Amino acid sequence: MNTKPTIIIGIGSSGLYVLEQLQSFCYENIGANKPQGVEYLYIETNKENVPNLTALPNEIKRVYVSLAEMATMVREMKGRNNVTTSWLPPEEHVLDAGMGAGGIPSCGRLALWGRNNEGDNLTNVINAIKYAYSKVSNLNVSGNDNSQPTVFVTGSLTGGTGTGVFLDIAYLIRDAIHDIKELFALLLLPPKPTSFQGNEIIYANTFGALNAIQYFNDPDVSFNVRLPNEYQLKYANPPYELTQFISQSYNSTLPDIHTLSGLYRIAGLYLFLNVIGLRGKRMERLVDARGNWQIGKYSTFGLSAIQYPKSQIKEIVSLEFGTELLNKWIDPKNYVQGGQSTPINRGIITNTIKEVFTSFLNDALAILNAAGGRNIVNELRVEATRINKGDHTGTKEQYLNKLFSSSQFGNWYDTVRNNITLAQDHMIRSISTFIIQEFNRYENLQYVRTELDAFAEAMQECINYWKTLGVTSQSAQWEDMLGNKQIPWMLKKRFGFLMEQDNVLEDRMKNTLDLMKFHLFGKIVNDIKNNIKTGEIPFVSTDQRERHELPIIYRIDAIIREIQVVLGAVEDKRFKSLEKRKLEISADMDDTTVPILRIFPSGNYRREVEQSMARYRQKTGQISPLKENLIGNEDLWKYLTVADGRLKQKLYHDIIIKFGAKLDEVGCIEDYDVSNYVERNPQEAVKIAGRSNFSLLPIRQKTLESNRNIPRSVIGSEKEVIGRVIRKLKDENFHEFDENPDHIHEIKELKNIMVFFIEKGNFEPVEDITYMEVVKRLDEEYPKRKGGKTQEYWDLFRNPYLNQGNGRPKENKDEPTPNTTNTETQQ
Amino acid sequence: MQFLDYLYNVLFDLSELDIASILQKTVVFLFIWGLVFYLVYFLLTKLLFANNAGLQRDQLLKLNQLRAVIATVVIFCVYLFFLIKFNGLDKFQWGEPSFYLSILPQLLTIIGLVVLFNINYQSFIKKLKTTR
Repeated sequence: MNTKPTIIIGIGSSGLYVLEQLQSFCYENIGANKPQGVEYLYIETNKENVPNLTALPNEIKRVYVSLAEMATMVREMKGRNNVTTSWLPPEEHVLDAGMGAGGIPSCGRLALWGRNNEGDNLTNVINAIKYAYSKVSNLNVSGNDNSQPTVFVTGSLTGGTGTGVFLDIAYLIRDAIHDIKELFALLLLPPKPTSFQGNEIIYANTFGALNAIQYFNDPDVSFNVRLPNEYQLKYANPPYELTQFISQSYNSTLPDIHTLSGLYRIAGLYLFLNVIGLRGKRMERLVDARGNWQIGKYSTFGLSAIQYPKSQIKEIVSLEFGTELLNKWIDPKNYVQGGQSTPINRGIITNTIKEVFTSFLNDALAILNAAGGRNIVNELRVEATRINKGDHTGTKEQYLNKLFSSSQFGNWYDTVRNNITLAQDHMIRSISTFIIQEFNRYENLQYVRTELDAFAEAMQECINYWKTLGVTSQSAQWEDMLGNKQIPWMLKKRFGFLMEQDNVLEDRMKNTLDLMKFHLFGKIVNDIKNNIKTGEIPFVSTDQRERHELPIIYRIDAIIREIQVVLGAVEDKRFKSLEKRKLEISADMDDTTVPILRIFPSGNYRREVEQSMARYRQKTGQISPLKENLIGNEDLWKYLTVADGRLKQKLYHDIIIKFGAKLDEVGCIEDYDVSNYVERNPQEAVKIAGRSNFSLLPIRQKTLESNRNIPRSVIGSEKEVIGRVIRKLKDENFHEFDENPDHIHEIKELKNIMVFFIEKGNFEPVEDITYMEVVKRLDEEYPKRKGGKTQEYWDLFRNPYLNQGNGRPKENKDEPTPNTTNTETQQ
Repeated sequence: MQFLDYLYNVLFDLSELDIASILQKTVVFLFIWGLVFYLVYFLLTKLLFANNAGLQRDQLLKLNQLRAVIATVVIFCVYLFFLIKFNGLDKFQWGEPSFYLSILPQLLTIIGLVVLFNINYQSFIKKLKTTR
């Protein structure tokens, strides 16, 4: 694989989505989210937007540029010396930008330059670029040409972030990586509009951005701005060596790519191909093309592919298994016992738990007896005999009172009181261990939730019973009970005529001791019950060696809720559920407007998924997925509770990864040779290969002439196979690709996919994109229509780069633009 | 020998019809069976049912009292067998009012045991309910 160091920077939401697609292609083909020597960065103004979950740990590093306190940022920046400020939007109008840059390019640029309580955005971005550069420059590569990193910047020119920062970022990269030779942009443009109604801002942003990039691509214009923190960007170079544009619309009558995600997929595939080798081949050709004025500063491309979507099938199967497993864990009606689905019977559980709780309570109360080498139970007999013999100080009543009174120290009451924490720990430990064992055994959260409910019920019953005995946790009441009830009862008729007085008194003292324990432990039981039932923060045992956390219903409910979110049963807009992902893959498979033809040996992808699942079951003998497939030998309770607030992500990630790995291990989804399909279905293959001849940008036809210097390739895993496919296509009268080394590109890592790629260039975006003429008129008329705004006012929001001191560029390039060599505002 | 004869007379002689003698005999008879009852109660408590994990000592002693009453009744029935054997069935003139005078000690003992059983039973149930 090509080991050229590469940095890919996504800007705005679209930039992120493209990077996600790129990651996805990397994972599908090379089994890693990125090849060695490649770094992904993502610059975003929208706090809500975070890199989506991927099969492997996410490799996209997010650099958040905060837009909080925008008015303050504007004011602060205007107050600084030596900062170019003429482009800044009026501070009183930036507050309504809304989420992210609010579709306002000036706000996007402001985010990059500004600083606020959340940090210094510019420094963060520069540091991130430098850090990425330092990481890829450590790569040991052979040849001078390969040691310099290639940088791709990708994003859309429709929203505020992309259009606001795409030029500054280019020059910041030039500033961070001196003498960079390969700095490219892949920018997404809006499709051919069916109506501008409601989309005026998007197209105006695009128009402004294209004007700006054309302006700074003019060899006579230099970029010269002073940024905060003493940064100055002064470059005569164009921002990018080559700027590529693609959109959902074709340069033909082909229907538009139906969804934006389809376009992101194409952009991701294109970047992936470049990362793993296409870049080198393209560069060879582009050098010649540029030398012969055949490509210019801008290009676009047509790209199509035939793919057996093995990884998507694998992902769907993993998602199906994951869904089945998670549903089993939260099933409210049944749990699995000995491989059999058994109804959750609350009555049986309640009775069992009552017995279990009684046993735990007895053990906890027994702990209260002993402390410091002393055991109260052993002392009972001695004291009973002493009292019956009269071998004590004071009256019998006084002596008994001394033993049980809360106002004495060193007596039985004191001993029990000092042991309360130990008993509480024991209770927490017992319940925790029991629930964890039960959960690991039955794998059903609803089951253990019912058990916890039953524990709380048993505790309440116990407390109620103690109340009927007159026991409360108040000391005064205990003293009253001791003096008026217990001591007289202990001393009354002791069956002396049967010589049973010692036994009877001992027994009654033991009984009083139990009441005393209930009095002291009652509050603890009540607290534990409340914690289980309504608590939000679980009690933890104080034992330092082995800390146990009390399982609580709130926690179980939270886990159930999180699992429901993962399943998609509960909506969470910030999280992509398994169900959503399944639908996404399904929609992707069914979307015929994306120029990727999905082929399936069994006919369609649903059947392919079913067959794969059946093969898995047959090979492993597992009727339903096992938790061991997901978590290995780890404790399931621990797995679900020690997720550090990221359970959803962990589950989603593990389901895709672990089940995916298991599917690989079992080998139930085989690779499929795409050339077989081409040989059997040549006409279908020609149709899809033919789509690569249409660029993904509506350009006036005359500008996109074919030339041997402009890159075009069939990309596959083996030269021979590619050659065979090209021959087959020629047999079907498709002659866009020849069997020469320029058109054959072998990338060994590519599996189950063959890509047809044709690059097109030599156009000027504002002049040659078909809908730009209308957009230009719209850009001029729209401000007037919207409340009579002036063009200058409009430009302050839409054209931050052309407001750096010299206003809008002259449209007629033949006329010299005043002061074009220095666009810096004079401070 | 005189004591044994007296004892035999108290326990098995049904021919006495003098009121004063009968009353004296009744007192001695009740004392003897009271003693039997105590011994049975004592033995059950110390030897047979000394402990019971499920019951408190108070309850156990009450329960043993019931058991002792039952055991005493059983012993009393054995005694009645010998009483009939030694006197013969002809002596048992159920139609003669004077017969009932002669068996007054036995009758009072039987009634006493039944009453004792009932009192103890009620007390035991109450204890079970009120103590924990």
